[in-house]
Amino acid sequence: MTGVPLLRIEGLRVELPTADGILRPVEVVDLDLAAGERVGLVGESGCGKSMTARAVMGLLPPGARARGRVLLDGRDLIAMDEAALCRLRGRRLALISQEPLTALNPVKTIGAQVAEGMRLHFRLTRREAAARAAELLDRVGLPTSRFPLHLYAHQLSGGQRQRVAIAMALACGPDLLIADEPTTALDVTVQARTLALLEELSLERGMALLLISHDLSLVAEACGRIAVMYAGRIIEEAPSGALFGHPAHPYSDGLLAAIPQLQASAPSGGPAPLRPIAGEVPDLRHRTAGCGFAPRCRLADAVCHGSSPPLEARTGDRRLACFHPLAEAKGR
Amino acid sequence: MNGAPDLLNVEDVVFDYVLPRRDLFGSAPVRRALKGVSFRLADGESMGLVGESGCGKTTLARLVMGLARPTKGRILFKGQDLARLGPKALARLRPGFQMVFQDPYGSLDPRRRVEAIVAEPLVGLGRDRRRAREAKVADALSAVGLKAGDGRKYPHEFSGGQRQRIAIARALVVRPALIVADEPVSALDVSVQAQVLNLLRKLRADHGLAYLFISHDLAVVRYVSDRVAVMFDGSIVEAGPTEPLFAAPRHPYSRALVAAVPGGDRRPALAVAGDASHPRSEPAVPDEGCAYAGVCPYAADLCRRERPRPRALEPGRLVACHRAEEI
Amino acid sequence: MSDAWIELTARARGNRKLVIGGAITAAFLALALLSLVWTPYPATRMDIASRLSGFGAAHWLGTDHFGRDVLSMLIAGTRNSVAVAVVAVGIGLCLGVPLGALAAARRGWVDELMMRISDVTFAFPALLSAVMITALIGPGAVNSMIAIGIFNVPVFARLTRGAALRIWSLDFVLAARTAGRGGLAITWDHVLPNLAGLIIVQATIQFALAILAEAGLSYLGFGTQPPQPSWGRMLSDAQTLLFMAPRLAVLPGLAIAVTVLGLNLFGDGLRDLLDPKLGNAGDGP
Repeated sequence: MTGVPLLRIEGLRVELPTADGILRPVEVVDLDLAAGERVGLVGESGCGKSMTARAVMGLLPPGARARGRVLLDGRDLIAMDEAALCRLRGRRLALISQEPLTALNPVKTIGAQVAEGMRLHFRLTRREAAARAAELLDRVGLPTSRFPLHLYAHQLSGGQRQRVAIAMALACGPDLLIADEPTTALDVTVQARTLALLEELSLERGMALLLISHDLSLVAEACGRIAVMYAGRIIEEAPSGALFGHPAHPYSDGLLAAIPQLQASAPSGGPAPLRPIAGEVPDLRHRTAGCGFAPRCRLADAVCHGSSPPLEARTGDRRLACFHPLAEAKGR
Repeated sequence: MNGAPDLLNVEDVVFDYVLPRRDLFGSAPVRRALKGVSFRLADGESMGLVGESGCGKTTLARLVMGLARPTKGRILFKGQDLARLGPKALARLRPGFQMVFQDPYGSLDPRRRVEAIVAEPLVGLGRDRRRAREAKVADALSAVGLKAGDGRKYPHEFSGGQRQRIAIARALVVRPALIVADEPVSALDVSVQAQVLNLLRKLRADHGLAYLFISHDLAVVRYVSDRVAVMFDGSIVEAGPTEPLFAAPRHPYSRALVAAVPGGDRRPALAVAGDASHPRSEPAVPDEGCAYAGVCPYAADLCRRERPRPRALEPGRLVACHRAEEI
Repeated sequence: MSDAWIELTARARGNRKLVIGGAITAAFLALALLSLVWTPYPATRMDIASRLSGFGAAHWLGTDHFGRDVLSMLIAGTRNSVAVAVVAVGIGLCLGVPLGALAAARRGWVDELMMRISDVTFAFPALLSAVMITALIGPGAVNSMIAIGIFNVPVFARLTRGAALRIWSLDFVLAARTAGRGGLAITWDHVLPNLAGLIIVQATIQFALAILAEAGLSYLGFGTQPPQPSWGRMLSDAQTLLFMAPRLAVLPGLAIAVTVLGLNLFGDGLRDLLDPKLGNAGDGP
């Protein structure tokens, strides 16, 4: 990483006041993203990954508040007012989310939607914007010869709609694209192609990509670095190969052991046995002072239940929040 | 017929969805969701059904459960044609086959206690008295790893994984021979998914259950099923024992599916033109030719003219492709 | 279950519409009950000597042109309004809900038939048709109940059918079908309990509308007949005296307005309270 990162998230906390008291979907997140880098943010439900994305974009649900700093090229997004954020959104950072069905306006043509951002940020005329929209749609694999600009969302399949959403996100050439579960609602073969597209675009345009997903294997393919979240914190961050090969955090290890594999086999042939992680993801309302994973961790002791381990740098370009990391990782 | 009849026999099943009319006169257009599907399932066997959206696997599940009637073809459970049975006879047969649904939040009535939910199939049968029912419910709950006291609670007090266990307990309570599971773990977190999958395997070993396991996730199907059938656009394009099929798929679509799973060689998946070829067209695509020909990298003229029938490449492995030997 | 209740009552207390509307509705019902045993003066007693007296110690709200105590008439009028509204809405519920549930369960021609009948009923303007019906079968409280009740049936039928159709498509109903349960059992055990909240909210709205309708009918002379006290008739009696004693028109008008407002607020508040839970079976955690 050279120089100042494009995106620096420092001590991000998200608070949500509810009838049950103040909840913290995001307890503390520190993460850097360099220009053009592809980083994956992985975790299960309730870990806070989507909230993190929304906090960066300034699109938190009503009532929620973000604390800490989110620096985009040195400017703190959290401290910015809405008007300033609007000028940035679409132009410097963009978001695509899970449900392509609702991401597109059913009563506007796809051409109009792709052009919308451009007309706003660059003040292009309708014709100019339409021409650029056609280029963009072509780039995402929807050539106007078969997908004219006047088509509506309902005439497209889920995968095709997601491509339109990607084109919309790219329209103003953002430096950072946050993709929140972009392929979860799509078929497997479509997933593969959509991710390949995101990778290509990131390489082509030097655009940084923050890929958020619950699917560890998916993220490992597309991203160079992965951060694993659990109960509102990042508990491990490492280069993809390293994380997959030798996870240091018991949760990362447990997660990998719990994923059914298509390729790997047991010595006797047949699939390797799945080792589930005992227990369930902790409820937002019942977080304790200790390590969030301690109730489910086979290595947990009094120290772990007493306080939450801080995220610290380790060897091999890795960061870890654990009092008892797994032995295999220590030597690397 | 040799030996005992199969548990489930699906014979050339065709199913059409009737669509809204375009003109005042003439018949309403149909969308053929299933184009002649056949397979057999024996007692205690576990078969997986994989495919992407629109392939017809959910429709097939509904037909197997007797929730709808096939337009053509037959579905035989323990030798009896489901479509021909009257409501009473069907109800008597129901305990033999039960279903687990995808959505752990929608498949349980939020207004009823868990014990009532799990007891429902018994109530439907109407055979047991209260005491016997309660005992069976308690058995089913403990078989899925829940406590007897959980019966008094309501669904919203449980997490997704636990709700899915409740759904499994409900299916189990009548001691069925067959459980049809439609994407039972897709909505669950990975760590919980593993728990439920292990539970399903254990239950099968303990009770000799047969499964028809439907999923879009190949790795999950591999874990639970002995055999697998790959579906595309309303037909089975390949079927056979799980390990050999996933290790070396013969049909171009099966290859694309296997390749699309993260972790392997992606190129076959990317080679397929797939969904970006044209906007969602109107239904009633003509029945000529292989349904996959439109996007298949190996398609030849023969493929576009004639619909391939499933044939046995090796014993036990069926493939519906004209060019299976060459590619 | 108890902490679901605790949460519900806590939210109920915090909901202003519910509390205010509920207070008004409760006061209204209390007065109706009270009127069964006591009113300041018998509502029908005429005291010609003190006719048209204004606000005063003996008669708090004064008397009308026949010397009847206005306050007593208002209180007795609540009883009348409640009775008509309860029966009319009751007719709507008892006939409309089962019809709607049946239509949703059977679909096909039963559904079509039911929908067309309810379309036809909707085509007639409710109040005018009620007037016509009472003109045909004769005026009076009982006949008003029937006339208003008839128009409640399609309202509940439509509501029930729409909501029931949605519930029939949910997975837990599918599960009940695979358990072997029939249409009637499913409707009773699964569909209706999940509709209860929606129907209750609609019932409060229809209740308010029935009160208005009764007042309208009585105003026109087709509803409750003298000597039975009724707000609507108080209004029509007060017409000729509008300049001499405006309070005779204002007071019953105010009574009607406040009661209807209270009921609508209550219904709205109920909907806020129950909505996240009712009819949303199948949504996420």
